[in-house]
Amino acid sequence: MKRLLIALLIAATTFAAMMPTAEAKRLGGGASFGRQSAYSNQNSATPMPSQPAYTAPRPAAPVAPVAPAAAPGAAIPPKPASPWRGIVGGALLGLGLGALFSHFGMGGAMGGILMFALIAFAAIFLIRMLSRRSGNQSANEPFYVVGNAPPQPSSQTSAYSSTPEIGSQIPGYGQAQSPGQSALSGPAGLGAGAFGASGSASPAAVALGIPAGFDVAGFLRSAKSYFIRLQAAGDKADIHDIREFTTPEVFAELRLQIQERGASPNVTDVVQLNAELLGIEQVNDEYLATVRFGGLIKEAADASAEPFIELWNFSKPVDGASGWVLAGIQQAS
Amino acid sequence: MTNTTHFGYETVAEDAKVHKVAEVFHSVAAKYDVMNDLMSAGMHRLWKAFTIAQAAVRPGFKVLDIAGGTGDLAKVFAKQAGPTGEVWLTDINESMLRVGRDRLLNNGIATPSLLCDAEKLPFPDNYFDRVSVAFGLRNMTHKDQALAEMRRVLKPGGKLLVLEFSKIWRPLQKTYDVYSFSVLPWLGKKIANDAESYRYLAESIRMHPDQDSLKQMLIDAGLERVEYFNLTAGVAALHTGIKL
Repeated sequence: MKRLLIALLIAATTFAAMMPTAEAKRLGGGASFGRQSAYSNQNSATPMPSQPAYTAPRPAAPVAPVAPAAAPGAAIPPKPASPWRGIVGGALLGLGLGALFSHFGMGGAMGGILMFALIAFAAIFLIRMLSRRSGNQSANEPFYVVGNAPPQPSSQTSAYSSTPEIGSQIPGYGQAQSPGQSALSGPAGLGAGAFGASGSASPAAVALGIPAGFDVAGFLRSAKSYFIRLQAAGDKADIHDIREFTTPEVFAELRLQIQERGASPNVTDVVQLNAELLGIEQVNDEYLATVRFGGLIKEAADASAEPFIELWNFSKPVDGASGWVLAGIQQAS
Repeated sequence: MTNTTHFGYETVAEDAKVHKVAEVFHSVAAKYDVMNDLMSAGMHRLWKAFTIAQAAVRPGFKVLDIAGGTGDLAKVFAKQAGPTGEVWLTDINESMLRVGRDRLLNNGIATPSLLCDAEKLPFPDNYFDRVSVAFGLRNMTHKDQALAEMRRVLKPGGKLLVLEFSKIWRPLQKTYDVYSFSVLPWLGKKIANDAESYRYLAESIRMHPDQDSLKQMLIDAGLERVEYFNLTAGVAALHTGIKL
């Protein structure tokens, strides 16, 4: 009897270990597929030599949460301990002490003393914060500050009028995929990294870096909304929305994944999203722009937010017949 | 002869106020959050949290955040309203809206951002479940007109929330004056290198109607069950009213 139980237990655990792990997942299920870019090799935080003007002003702060996954040699200064930790700790301590004192019947007297201590703490915090701020004022500038953005023709109109064209637009379906470029069709691409960076080793690929005058800020803004919108579309299994924003190859892959998921609900919640344009390359008659997304994402309703890094490759025909669409997802390895 | 209004303690022509307020916010947009934390010792977060709690946004709600600035309220509303809801971030100031829109995107929220004047809201009647305006009403030239517009776009049963600086509890008045006319501009100079904007802030707070006057303004605009909550001894106050 005992032996039977043990055997059952072993069988159960082995079975559990073999269960597929890909239930609730972000779009693409955390796999690489579609067009892959040469820029993936540069997914460390090292700035590219060709566009110092763009990478230089970007402070480490927005990238910091995902830093552990980046190259260890990256020049990210250690984050100073948050002053909030002390404050929250103090407040909790105060609450605890207050409860203790009132338990022993001396709440009133101690309350006054604690109040003074609290005010003193607040004053010290203010002074410390002030002196720190005035010290490294410029370094603390958030990266979305308009003045930090690359020069734009006219700040008044650009933000609202120069948004890149959205969607594949119907003619986009006619875009010819040159042989060797259609990196994937079918389930073979499911294996993570099956194509690696080799998909881009086509001789026709010409790295352009980031062309002068390219509206990086506007492009990244649209890229972020693509990312959020496609996650939501994936959750809802809204294949029409996905078709609008992806190449036919990526669409086929995503639709397959959604079919495999079946009717089970999917919840993805983007908690924090940073984007960085790694570069643009020209592959035959298409531009391929590589954006590195990082941040925090929840992949189930009750899951905790976890850091992620993913490279998304967007393509657009050189002749401008259609807008940028998602041509591939690449896991940062 | 144009109508006049106040810009802080100055009296200016009505159309000049719009430009002057715009200048102030173009100037402070980048440092807005840091300054808010410093000036209010982080308390503006509590005030906003209280406003959010009072708003009680549920999934599927349509919410309009007027003068949403850097998106503090819209960010939470969007999460609460969920994929079936609709949250609009609006502001009359382009620089502020830009900061807010980018911040929402960085938090994984894709919600419409709209540059618009609260006195002429580009929305149909009876559209929103909640309309909120946090620290924005003070800067509007025709507050009565703006409030009437907010009421118009609310659905019957919808709730308006106005979070604004207000009149502080009398015994603290002296200390508060010293703080806002000496410390505040000094802070502004030190951090944002802009003492003028923060002097305007202090003055505009003094010129803003007190709790009961604002309550009356909400009633005059046609809102019902109007009530207010003093926050931090009246440094700020949340007024709420319902359209019936």
